Amino acid sequence: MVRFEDVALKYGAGPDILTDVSFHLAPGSFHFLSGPSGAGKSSLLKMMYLAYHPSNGRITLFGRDVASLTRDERALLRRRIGVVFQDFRLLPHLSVAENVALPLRIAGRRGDKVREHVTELLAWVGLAEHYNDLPATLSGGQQQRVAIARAVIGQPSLLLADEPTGNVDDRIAVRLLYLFEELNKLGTTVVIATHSQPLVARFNHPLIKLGDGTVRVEAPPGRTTKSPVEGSVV
Amino acid sequence: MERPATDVPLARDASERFLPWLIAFMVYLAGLALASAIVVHQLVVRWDTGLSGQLTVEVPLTDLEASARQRQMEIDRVLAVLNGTPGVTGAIHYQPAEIAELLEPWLGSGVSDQSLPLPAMIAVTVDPAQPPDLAALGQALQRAVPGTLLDDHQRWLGRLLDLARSVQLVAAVVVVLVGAAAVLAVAFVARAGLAMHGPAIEILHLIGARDAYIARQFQRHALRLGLRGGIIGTGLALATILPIGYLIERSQDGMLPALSWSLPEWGMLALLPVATALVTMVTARLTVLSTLARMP
Repeated sequence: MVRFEDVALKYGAGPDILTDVSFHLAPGSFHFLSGPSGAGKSSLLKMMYLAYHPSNGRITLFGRDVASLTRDERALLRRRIGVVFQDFRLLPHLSVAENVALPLRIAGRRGDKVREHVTELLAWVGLAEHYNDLPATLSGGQQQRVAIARAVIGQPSLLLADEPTGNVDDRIAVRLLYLFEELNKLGTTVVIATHSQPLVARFNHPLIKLGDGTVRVEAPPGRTTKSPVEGSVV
Repeated sequence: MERPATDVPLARDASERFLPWLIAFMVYLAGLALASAIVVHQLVVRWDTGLSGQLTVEVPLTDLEASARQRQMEIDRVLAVLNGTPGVTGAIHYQPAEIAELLEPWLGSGVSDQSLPLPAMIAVTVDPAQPPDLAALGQALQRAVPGTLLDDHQRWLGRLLDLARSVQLVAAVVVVLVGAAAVLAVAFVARAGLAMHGPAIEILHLIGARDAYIARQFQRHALRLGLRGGIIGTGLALATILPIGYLIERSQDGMLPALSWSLPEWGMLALLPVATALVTMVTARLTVLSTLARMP
């Protein structure tokens, strides 16, 4: 599903932010991505959703070497990836419902089915009454939930979330994690960057640990379930 | 009516207000150039069809003392030569009163054959399929009455055609230049829009939008603005052409053609806003696609 081989990343001519990153995420796996601030969690996710190009090494997504993709192929691949951005990245001039429906609209899907789907999902994240509101009228936590709804509406094969519970209270954080687990049960591969130790502890999933510019994959802290991790370690 | 929201909010840009007017002024100029080209074309067609198959023979009045009877004999000799020439289908001698009438727009009324030594004019129609040998005919006429001129209008018509062609060429250059200026303006606006809406476009890309999807947003915007500008500009051009046409109609004295356009001519003018909208749309699309393709 996701394979990194000796991947390095640096900005321009600067020093390497990540070096020798190699790991493999199996289809249907669920990982937390953790590490101290500035360790490169967001950068790693950005390479996974093709916003950053590695300065070295090879990234394979869905069996395709991403360096070989044309612009259109990259767009089609991104449709299979749902991303919850740390800064939400909602389009400020579109209503909540239009923002959530955006991935479907881009994929050419329109009509009543889409509206039904959006309504259902907004109810799930507790924002049904904000259907027609503009994002700016919502709180940070509410905007984050809009961003999550937008990330999952296309039933992506890969869901990447950058601190998706950073702006919500514990009760909603747990609820959102259950939503991600539901998607995972339906086959979606999930990677969630977080530095909430309680969440990592509560939900028993393997950990991708970032530190000192490299990456380590660890079995779930509870060790009660079989880890779906295959490759690993540097 | 509320306009449906677009993913890239181009309708709020400054281009929404200034681009249609910029386009309108350019379409106005193109419309006037097009109209003048059409008028000149009509003029040429009118004169050409009016004169083809026509010759004019001038019998000069050389001897001012000659009697009317001698004069008539000269003209009869010329008419005899003409009627005896194969290919000539008719020869009409214009009476002095008719010539005076033809000259009225230039010289005013009251011209008579007494006050000016007017030549006798004979209008000759020839069979276009089997035209007579003009050189031989000219010599025969010279022999009949020395100084007689045979005018096939070609020299005059040739100069007129040269003039008309240069007017049409200038009109075409104006239309091309105006079109090029419009293309540059639209391309500039599209690039500015891409830069201004960079964050929204980045989000759309990350969610899986293809370049064509982004381009569609811009081309719809450009189509709308181009159509609006084209309609305003064509309206302004009509508001200029129609009063001038009316003035020509009112001063109808035979020197200028009436502005009696038929459907194809009006159609060309009506196509102007459509063509403008298409040009702006295609320009925006190609600009956006080529700019995005150069991005990493």
